[in-house]
Amino acid sequence: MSEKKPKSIFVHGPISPVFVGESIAKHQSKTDIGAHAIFLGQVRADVKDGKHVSHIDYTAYEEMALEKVHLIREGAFDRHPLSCMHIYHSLGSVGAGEISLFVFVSSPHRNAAFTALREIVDEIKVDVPIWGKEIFEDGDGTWKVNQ
Amino acid sequence: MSEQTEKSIQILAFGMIAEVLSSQETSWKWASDTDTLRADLIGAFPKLTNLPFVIAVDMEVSQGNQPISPGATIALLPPYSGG
Repeated sequence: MSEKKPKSIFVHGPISPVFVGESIAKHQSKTDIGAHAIFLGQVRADVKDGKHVSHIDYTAYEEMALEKVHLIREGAFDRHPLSCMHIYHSLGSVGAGEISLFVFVSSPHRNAAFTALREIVDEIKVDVPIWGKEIFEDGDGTWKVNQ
Repeated sequence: MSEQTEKSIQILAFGMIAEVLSSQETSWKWASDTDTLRADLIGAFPKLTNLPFVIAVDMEVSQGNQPISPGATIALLPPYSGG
């Protein structure tokens, strides 16, 4: 385990578009960057048995999740020439149409940013202990299954 | 005041497994390895029989049967669905 406690990635509730915009603005002083790649995961209003998903309730094994994200981050920095990387995931309730995952990768050139972004999002889905329960308009719920 | 007649472990449960256990955190009698623990849990909570979950010992997902030391933190993890 690393001696430094990994920085939290968790945001309570949805990630606001304003926060995303402000995150981009913070990089204007980093002029070695030539490419930003951003992934935003949005909650779908899936229909199951005729009922729409109204929101997803997210929970996590936070301590383990932060360790796993720390490893994903180090792996991406080892494999690609990245300038910086930011990862945020929601906990609690996120409504359909709102953002629950924000991954932001910056690099001098686009190829590294695109490739790293895809790898990081895939690894988050597979390795990070986070669970989503889809809640329907009538209050019933079903545990989300990732594709 | 730490007279323990029986060794115990702390179990964290998440997602649908927490719903079956009706708890996110529970103290459980120590089992020497993850296969034994899984069998004990299924004995106590038959609904677990058909639910997929892995057992993490001190935040490492066990591959195959893994020993459990007394005092270990155990977590029962159903398939992840973040994002």
